[in-house]
Amino acid sequence: MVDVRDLVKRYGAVTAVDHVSFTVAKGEIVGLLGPNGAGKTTTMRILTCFMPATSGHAEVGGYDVFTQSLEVRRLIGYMPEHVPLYPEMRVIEYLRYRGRLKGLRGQALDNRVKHVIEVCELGAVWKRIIDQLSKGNRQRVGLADALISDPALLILDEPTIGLDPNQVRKVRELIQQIGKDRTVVLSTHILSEVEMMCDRVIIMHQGKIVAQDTMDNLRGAAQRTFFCEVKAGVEEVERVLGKIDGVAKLTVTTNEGWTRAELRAKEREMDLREAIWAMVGEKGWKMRELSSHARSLEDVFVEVTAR
Amino acid sequence: MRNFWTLYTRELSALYLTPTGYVVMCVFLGVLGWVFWLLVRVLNLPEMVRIEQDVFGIMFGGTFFYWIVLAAVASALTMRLFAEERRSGTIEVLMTAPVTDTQVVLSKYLAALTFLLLMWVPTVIYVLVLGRYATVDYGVVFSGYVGTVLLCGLLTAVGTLVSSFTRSQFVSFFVSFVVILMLFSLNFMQNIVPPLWRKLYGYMSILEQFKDFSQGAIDSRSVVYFVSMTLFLLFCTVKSVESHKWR
Repeated sequence: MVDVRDLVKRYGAVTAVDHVSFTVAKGEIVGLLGPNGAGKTTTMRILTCFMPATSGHAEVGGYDVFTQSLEVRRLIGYMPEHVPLYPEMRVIEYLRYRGRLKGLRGQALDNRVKHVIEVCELGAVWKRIIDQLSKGNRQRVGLADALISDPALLILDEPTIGLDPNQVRKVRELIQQIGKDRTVVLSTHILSEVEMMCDRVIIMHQGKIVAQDTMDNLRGAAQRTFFCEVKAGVEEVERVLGKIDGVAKLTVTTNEGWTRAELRAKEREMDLREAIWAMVGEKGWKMRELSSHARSLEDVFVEVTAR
Repeated sequence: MRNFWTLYTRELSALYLTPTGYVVMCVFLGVLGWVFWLLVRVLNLPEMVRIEQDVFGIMFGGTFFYWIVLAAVASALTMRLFAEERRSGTIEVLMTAPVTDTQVVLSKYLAALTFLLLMWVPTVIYVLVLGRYATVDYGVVFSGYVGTVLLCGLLTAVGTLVSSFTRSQFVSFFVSFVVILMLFSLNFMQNIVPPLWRKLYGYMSILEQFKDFSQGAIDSRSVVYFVSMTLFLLFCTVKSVESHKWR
């Protein structure tokens, strides 16, 4: 559905998107994840034909975003960050206007407007003037606009930013439901959001893609971490636990008079707890903690973006 | 074409749904009504009998008010066209919909022009009122209106172009107001520039080109001037909108 190759966008001396390549298959929900200023919005703006790339190639549904811009724009529904709307219009007027702009007329327009009002739960506010809507409802209007032409590809820039937790949950559920029968590319800097909604994640940092994979693989790619806290000298613990087979990295610190060791296994499936238990038992040390942590996406994110 | 109609009706309704449109309309009709009243009173004074000119000959372009008010009104009606879309970010949803730049520019321009021209409709009452009590040279009235339509077309194009450069309505208003005043002033400038340039300044001067209309004549050269200037400015606006994508 989306094919991006070697995309570069420079604003003067600043390179906002730096040789980015990725593809999105039909029906996938893909999250663009990254800190603010990572180039997510710029990438989306290029995909939606709002601005051309400095170099590189981007295709949506087989059409080139630069030379076949109108065809691309007919395929997509786009919700920009902060959801800009015309404040003086009523919700229904706005949706009908946007529908007409995207080529819907007559009965088809009526049906689609009715459908998006239902799907986006705008039933209670469809007569209201947009200026008087709450943030959550504005977000829904933006989403309804993106959906009105029944687009094959939905591009959502920070769809849940600025909403309260209840609204965030509702918008997420909505996107998940919408994403069942179409392709969705969304950007966010909230990790849990990607974990909940997306099949695949592309992590961007300073204009570059630093990681892209399915959620499971990303989490799995990281080795597990084991913690143990014992009563013993730091150097001794370092020496003894370092002897365990399969330890990739060992960090020892002191914590409230106890010695805390953090061990990383060499391989993903490896469980070091038994070996640690045996070692500590052999030495006769007192132990107050022995635990295993699968790394969260947050750990992966921090690791790849901190470089 | 259908897209154009959709965009056009939205732009026009935006003018009727926001206070700006009504404020502009009130100021415009107030000033014009006052000028009409003033002219009728002054021309009726005994010492003014020698003046041969028609009331409408003076009203269309004959007073300083006509020009200032039109410059202000055209700048005010066009200031939000692009500036507001840029400021609020709606330009992003607009330009990512399947519409062409030309459709967007033309629909905005024609919506503002329609509003401006509709404001002139009530002034027909002046003609009817005066026609009841005095002899009116309807030729002058007709050419005056034709000239005004052409002039409004040109001034709206100036405002539309300026609005496409900025995200501030305030800046757009003042810059287009000043640009329009500069276009008016070419008439006076031709007296101080070298003789070689005099003809060009004279030709480019709106005041010079408008003179015939207020005297009851429709000169094809002036019509060509107004139409070609307008089209050129609209072409520049389309290029300006396109160029924003490249920055």
